[in-house]
Amino acid sequence: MISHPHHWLDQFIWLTSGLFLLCSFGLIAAAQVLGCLRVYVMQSALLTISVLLLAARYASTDLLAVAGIDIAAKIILIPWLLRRTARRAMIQRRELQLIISVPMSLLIALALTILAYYITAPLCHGQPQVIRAELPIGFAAVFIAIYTITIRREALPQMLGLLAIENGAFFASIVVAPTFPLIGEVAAAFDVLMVVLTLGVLSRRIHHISGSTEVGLLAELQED
Amino acid sequence: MPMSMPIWIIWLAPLLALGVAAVSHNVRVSGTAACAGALISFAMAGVLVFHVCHASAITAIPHWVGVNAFGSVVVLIETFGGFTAALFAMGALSRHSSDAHAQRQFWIWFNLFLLALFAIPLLQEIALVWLALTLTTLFSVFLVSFDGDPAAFEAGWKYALMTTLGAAVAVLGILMLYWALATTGSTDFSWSGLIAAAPRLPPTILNLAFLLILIGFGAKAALIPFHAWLPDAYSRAPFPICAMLSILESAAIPYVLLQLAGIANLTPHSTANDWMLLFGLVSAGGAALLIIQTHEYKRLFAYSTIENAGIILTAGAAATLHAREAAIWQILAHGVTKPLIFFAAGTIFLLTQRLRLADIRGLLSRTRWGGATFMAAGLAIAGAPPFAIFLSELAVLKSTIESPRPWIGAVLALFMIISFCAITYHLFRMVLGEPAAVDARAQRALTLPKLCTAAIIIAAIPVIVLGWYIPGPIIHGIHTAGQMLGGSMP
Repeated sequence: MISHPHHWLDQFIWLTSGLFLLCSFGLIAAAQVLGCLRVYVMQSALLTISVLLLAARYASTDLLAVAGIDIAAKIILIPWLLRRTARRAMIQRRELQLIISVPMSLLIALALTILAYYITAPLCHGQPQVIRAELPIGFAAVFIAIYTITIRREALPQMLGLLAIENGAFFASIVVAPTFPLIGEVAAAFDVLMVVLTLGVLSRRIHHISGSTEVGLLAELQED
Repeated sequence: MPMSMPIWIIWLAPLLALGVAAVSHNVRVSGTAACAGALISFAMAGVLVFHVCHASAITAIPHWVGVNAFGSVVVLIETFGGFTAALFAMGALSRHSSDAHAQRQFWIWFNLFLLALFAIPLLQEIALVWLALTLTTLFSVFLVSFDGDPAAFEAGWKYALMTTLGAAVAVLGILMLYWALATTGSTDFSWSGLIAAAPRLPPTILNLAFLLILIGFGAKAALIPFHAWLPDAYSRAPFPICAMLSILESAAIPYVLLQLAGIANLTPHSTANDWMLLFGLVSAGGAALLIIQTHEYKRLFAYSTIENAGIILTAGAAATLHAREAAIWQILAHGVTKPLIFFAAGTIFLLTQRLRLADIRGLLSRTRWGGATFMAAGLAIAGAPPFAIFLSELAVLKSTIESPRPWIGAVLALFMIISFCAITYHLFRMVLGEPAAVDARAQRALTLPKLCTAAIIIAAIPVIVLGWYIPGPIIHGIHTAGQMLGGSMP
């Protein structure tokens, strides 16, 4: 096996990875819409820090630009757009319902994390330390976010789950493909904004019509 | 005129129509602009197919914008569907109760959707192809929930959530694909760049990337078991939108998946075909069973779209030249037939205001032309001769039976027979027999908007013609595309 030299920044990259994964668990446990949004912003911030650390490690200006896009899109624009399009649903101070209880969900999330390590093991074989640290965590974040969407009943937490998938995907990729063309990053950021805009408007209309954004309760269209 | 000119015009025409829809307050003007825009795009797509005959691929901006033989066939289907759907929508909207503002919005979203849809086969950079595919969802959400009632928004939400979820999984796959490419030292993330680097791509990464993209785009194409959004979205979306969604799911997405599988097959130890075969067969079989038990004719044809997407992927996975050609042929035949059946079903809805199969009996005795057209279109989609799908399904069966895995052909034949019987069973019950107790609403005007009739007549032309004769350039295009998917460079 090839031995890769340690870099003094690696310690911080591992730390950010751990905190990033913690945010995925936080997205399951958050009890209010605003809490979900805060966890999402925190996760985006950790993604950005991780990008910055990698930019320093690889002396890559591309990654600096990616960090800039992340800050602009995920930390500034998205929370702002969400607060604008879905203000009423956002400030409601009531407990969100989960289809599966939080402790059980956290256990399942743990299992998903192990699954992510299992799936990525063949990919990580013989790769540098940073890749072995970040790649499985990115996959785990994707799996946990998908799981979060399935157990949430309301529109906004589901949407934040979607955005968290994208975060996880990019967390996995920045380390393996730090030269990923900027156009891809721009495309993804553009897409994320469009998702927030479209789904935000949609959830507002649902709220306007039915008085709640509990999309999980809408069951008029079942095939009988 | 430079060879790449038609590519730009295909985009420019709906863009101009979008401008008209955004500025004009007259819905008829917006509708006419959308029809004209899509018609121009269709003409240019025809020119593209003709050009590709001679040049095998046309490049507008190297590595970014261009079209290959497969793409030119796909864009031809998309533009034809776009044109007829615009025509039908214009007619149907005149009977729709919605206000002018909602109708204006409809044309804005419709043109945006066409722009994204046409972009899929015309873009070469993979990240942008992914973006175009994702945007088709976001631009069609408000078309799906056009009716504006809670059920329509529920359908729109499910559709948006499930397909965006798919897109997010696909992005992970796309990024893994880029990683695989980067390990070879290349950064040319276009179809041709991937084909050039293919023999050196690491198989473990590539296999995972393909699986993630297949699952992600499979959710968007409503492949089973990711089809939960589909019954709701189709039963709420306007009929011309159903036609366009069908083209997206059974032409544009299989195009991307087959191209990717073609690249994966150039590497040793590729599992791409096995996964595609699994999803293809499960979708074709599952959809055939869903067709039997459905209660709405709109959903019936939605399930038939899944079945066809399954057949296409299965044929592509059989991995012989003839099977790949048959897959592309199936894309073409189904892509021109689906709009026709949704328009015919749309007229049935305009006349009866009913969606449930059980509510519709004896169409033929109430409206002779409407019933006969619906019958013919239904037989065409079921795969009866002398229509286009009959020939293409025959080609799929023949080529898969001759492939190294002949059991694929046998299983597919079984699924095709099940769905044929199920569709014709529902069809005969709707068209023949005594009409159900006629209520006051159904008694109302049994006339159709002229534009709807025109859309049906135009949409019927290729369905009939392709059942007898396939124009030379299209045969050539299908052949070149089949070869290219097999790895020979254009």
